[in-house]
Amino acid sequence: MIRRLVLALDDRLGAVPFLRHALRKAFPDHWSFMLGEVALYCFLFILASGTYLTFFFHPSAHHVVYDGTSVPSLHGRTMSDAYASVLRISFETRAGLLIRQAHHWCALVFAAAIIVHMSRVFFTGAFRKPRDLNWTVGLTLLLLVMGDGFTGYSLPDDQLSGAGLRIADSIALAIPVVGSWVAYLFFGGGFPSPEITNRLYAIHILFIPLALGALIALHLAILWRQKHTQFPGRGKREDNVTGSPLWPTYTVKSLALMAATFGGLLLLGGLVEINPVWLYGPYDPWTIASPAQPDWYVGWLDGALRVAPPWAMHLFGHTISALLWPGIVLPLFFFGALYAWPWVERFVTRDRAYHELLQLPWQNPLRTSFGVAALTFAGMLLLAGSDDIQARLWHVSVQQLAWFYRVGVLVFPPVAAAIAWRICVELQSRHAYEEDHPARVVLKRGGEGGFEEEPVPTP
Amino acid sequence: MNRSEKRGELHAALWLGLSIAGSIAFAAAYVLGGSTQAQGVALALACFGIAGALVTWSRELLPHGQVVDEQHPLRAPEAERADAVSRLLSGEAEIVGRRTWLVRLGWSAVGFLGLAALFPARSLGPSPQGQIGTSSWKSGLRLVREDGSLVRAELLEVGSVVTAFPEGLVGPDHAMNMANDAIMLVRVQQDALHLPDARRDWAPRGFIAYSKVCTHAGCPVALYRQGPQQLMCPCHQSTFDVLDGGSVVFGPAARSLPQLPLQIDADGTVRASGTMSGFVGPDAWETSSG
Repeated sequence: MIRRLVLALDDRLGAVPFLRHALRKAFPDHWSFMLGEVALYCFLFILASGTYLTFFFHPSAHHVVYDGTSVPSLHGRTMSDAYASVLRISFETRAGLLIRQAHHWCALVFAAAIIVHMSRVFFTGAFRKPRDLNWTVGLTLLLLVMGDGFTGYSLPDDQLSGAGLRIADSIALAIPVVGSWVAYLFFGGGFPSPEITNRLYAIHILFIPLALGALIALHLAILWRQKHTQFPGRGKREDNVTGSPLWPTYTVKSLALMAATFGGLLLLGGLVEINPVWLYGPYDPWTIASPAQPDWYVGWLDGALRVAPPWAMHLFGHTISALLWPGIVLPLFFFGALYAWPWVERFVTRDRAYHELLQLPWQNPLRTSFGVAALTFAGMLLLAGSDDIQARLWHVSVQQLAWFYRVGVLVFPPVAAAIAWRICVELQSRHAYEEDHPARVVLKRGGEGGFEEEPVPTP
Repeated sequence: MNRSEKRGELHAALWLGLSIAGSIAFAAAYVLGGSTQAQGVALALACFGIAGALVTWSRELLPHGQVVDEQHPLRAPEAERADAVSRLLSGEAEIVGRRTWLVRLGWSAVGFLGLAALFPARSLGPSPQGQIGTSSWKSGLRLVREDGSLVRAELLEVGSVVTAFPEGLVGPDHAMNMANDAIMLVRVQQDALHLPDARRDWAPRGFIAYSKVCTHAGCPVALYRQGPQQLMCPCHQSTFDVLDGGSVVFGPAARSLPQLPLQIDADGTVRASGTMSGFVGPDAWETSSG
């Protein structure tokens, strides 16, 4: 069977040279190389679970009266068809709630897997030439996943999704000069336009997944062409890659990771409640739940909105909204810096060479400090985005917490960067010392009866 | 077959048995209408079983040989690079030649086509002109609750609050109006108020109304803090002073809540006695006054 398939394909496509090369392609075994694969398998899972959900979800703002019995508190309530169909998926479709929750969990894990994978790529310098190109593709993938997450979060038309959209509409309005046109054209009118659910649906299930699929294919094609990086070690050089062969060893490993990822997502979807929209109720623009939280990958932007100063400006009878700074300028700068970093680093270090061997974080204090500062900054904003919950937990006022984060967002990143720099430098000097003073020596007795130290070369 | 290989096979078989059991359990849970938890655990077991078997396979049954790929330079030899570039350039020269004016005209045509293609985008939504920051409130409109029932002054104690809308503009068909018309009607001690002179008679008997749409990001300013007499938005914690004309006390909002002037009829009906004091909702380019 396999023999005939291979021969038939080779007859028609000349596939054998590629296959011979592909089957023994080397894949490094280090665990950190699996993080990107988790993201890839999340994409497969989210595509499959999402496809199932499309068969039941109605992207419609049309009003219906809820006549289901599963949520007594909502009985007889007027709501959008979208919200009612999410209730039906959750309560009247067998396995519907499992798949809906696993789908939502998958979005959270997907974004997390990408960010951890990117951190690995960043802190080990894997983004250096020639992989600077794939760094920009990967960063774009992260943005697309965040966008798909937010549009998906906004579809059920529940209390929190509506509030999230209201904030998105406000940020669009904050764009100078053309903001209200952007908001009106995107939403199909003033807020809350009945058009928006349908538009978000097209973006959520068609445009972004298509772009994701295309860019993931490109990401993998570039990876295939450029081959993997590897950590330095015995037999590992700039001009080779060592690892398990794709077939059979790595295939079996990677399929195991896929099955484990799917299992983990299903376990979360089955056991851990997420986005219980029946508790929030259908969206009425004049009501809101408190505390109000977005999904985690949007949380840092929500945090930025919370701690930003009220800097509105009035010019010639027009207003520049205070939302412009945290809502538009800040994410543009943040992601702009991440896109630019490979070239910034090349400019600063004047290192234009190819790099196939990875660095450990301590080997490059500048890069590590920048990465630590960026993660601290985003992390502080993420924490600030849940200051209302922390205020309840710790019995402090939310105002005090907001001030803590206002200061912390500015102070902690440089402090963390300085500490990271110090640690890197210490580790560098320790490694330099160890290279000069190899720890392992043998004592050799010389011909005259004295002893001499002789270093054992470290592997 | 040696001992360790046998043990490996046994382990893999156990994992696969677990997986099959998980799949059967899921099917049973589905057919019998089992809980989401049972379905999730069963299906997760089916996946974990396969994962466990594959891990066992790779750890105990597969060889651990490493392969080494040569990392060939990606860049082509200099001569080939130069040749590729010169082919591109000579092709371009053949297209352009001395016809630079024609090429410019060609790019203009493409540009015009792009502009023409933008026109249908205009159909995506109505013009925002004159729409941003407005509400339906006019002098004389009576205040009603969400369900359309009239707000009556005698039913509101000092220190209580109600969400109100203009009469005739509530219900599912008016969702877009309700989003911008919603007000928080608060009753406070009249002598505690310190409104600007121009607003002295906007809050008869301590009934005072503010737009419920936060001036920061449009969330409902739904939290009423009775002690300090503040309205607070749960989205980003912008806080506004009820007694002081809705001024910002704390948070990221840059502008006071618009106030709605009120009057109370002899029978206790509450009415608007004017329009909103300012721009309703979040700031936009069009926002003119503070």
